[in-house]
Amino acid sequence: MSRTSAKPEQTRHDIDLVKRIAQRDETALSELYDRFSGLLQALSRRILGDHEEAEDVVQDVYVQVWNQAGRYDASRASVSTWLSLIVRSRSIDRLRSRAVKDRTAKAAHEENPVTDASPTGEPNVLGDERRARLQAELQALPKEQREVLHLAFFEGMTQSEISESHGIPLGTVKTRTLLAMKKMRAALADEIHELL
Amino acid sequence: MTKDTESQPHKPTPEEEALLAVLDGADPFTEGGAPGAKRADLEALGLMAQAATPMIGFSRATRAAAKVALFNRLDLPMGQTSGVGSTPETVLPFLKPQSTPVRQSNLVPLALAAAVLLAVGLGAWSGFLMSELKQSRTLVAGLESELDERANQIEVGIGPNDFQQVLFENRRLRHQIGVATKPNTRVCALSAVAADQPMATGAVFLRPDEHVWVIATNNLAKCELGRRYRLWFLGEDGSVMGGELLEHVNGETEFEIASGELPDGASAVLVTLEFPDQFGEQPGGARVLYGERSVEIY
Repeated sequence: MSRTSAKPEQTRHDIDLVKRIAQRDETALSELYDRFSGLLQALSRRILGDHEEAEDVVQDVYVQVWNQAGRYDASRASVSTWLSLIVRSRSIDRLRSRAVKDRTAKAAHEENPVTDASPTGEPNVLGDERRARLQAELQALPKEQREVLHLAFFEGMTQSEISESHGIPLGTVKTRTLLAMKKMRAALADEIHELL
Repeated sequence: MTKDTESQPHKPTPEEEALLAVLDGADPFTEGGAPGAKRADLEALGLMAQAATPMIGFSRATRAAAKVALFNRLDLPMGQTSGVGSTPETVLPFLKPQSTPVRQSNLVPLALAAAVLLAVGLGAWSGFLMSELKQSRTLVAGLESELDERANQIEVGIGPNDFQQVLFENRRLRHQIGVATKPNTRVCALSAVAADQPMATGAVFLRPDEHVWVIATNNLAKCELGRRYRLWFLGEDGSVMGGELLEHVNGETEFEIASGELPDGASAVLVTLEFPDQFGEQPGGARVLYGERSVEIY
């Protein structure tokens, strides 16, 4: 199975961009925006199920990056992971703050995600081939494991919350989540290695 | 390996608890982040996040508008930036300087007149080019807007429809066939054991090193309402080592395929037809397929 590799030079370049942003270089912010905004929008919308809210989240995150880029620590995470996890976290915060949570749309996203590239055909940070493979790996998980991983990762539910809301023993939730995470970590071993 | 059975929840080790905690606190911007978070775990989560699908409808034009809004909010100039939101200066053709000096003679007035004519001509040409450029930009903006609209229409129209389902099924099957056709895969032939399904057959492809199995079935009877096929792994003594419901295997089509988690030490495979409301830890429904010998293929 062929795999698309993230170039280590690109990873270094991303780090350089964040350093330049910390020095108030707006061209670096522009480049970082061009590089990751599509990905981050997709992630936020997957969590929130709303186009406009996702745009708000991504903009807030870029404002935060502009103001606090100096806090980025390259030894803790790659830039792509750093940005993705911030967006995930902010999106989940917003999800939790909603008065009425409509998870139906997101469930539909989970089961039937849109899988093709953007109509502009612009390159994505994560190559289509690799993304398709990741989605296949996610789909290959047993349904029970995929469900808990979805609830924990894209809806930000804690293990206890999943246990309570779905009537599953906490130990079982943890077991399923661990199995799913370990499988995904094993499946992503090559990509993780490239980012370290 | 942790068994993939609901009845035997595995007590997480401290390292595994740390891995679970990463999910709850994976925010690199917060002080400290998740306790015990490891770099590899964070990167795995980051990559999973990036597996989110690209956005139809979030085109170059939409992104450019969002970028302009961001830069306005930060009160930053857009002029020197690059990429989707920038508007590069129009570069006009560079005129090479005259290499031969013009002699100072009575030709000077003629040369001046020619220069004036040239300047006027160039000005008119530049004006024409700028006008064309403006029209082109208007056209492109219109097309992008239409593209956005069409993309949104498609998105709304598609929803969870058959097209996406087909794409998804295609990827799932490619993944499962990929597992089944790797080198060193073992295969266990399944034979019919149910009197009412004598033509049913199947094969389980096993990859013990990856703890993965893929089952392919033929001629299974269509599940009656409320029934589901379930696969069981049995030990040498016949004890049940684990079982999973067979998603996508329900007798709807002649050939069906599914996959799941392979427990260690399994020596036989059994497929039964169960009532979901009565799922237990032991096979309780009709036995449909059985196999106990596997051979390495490829």
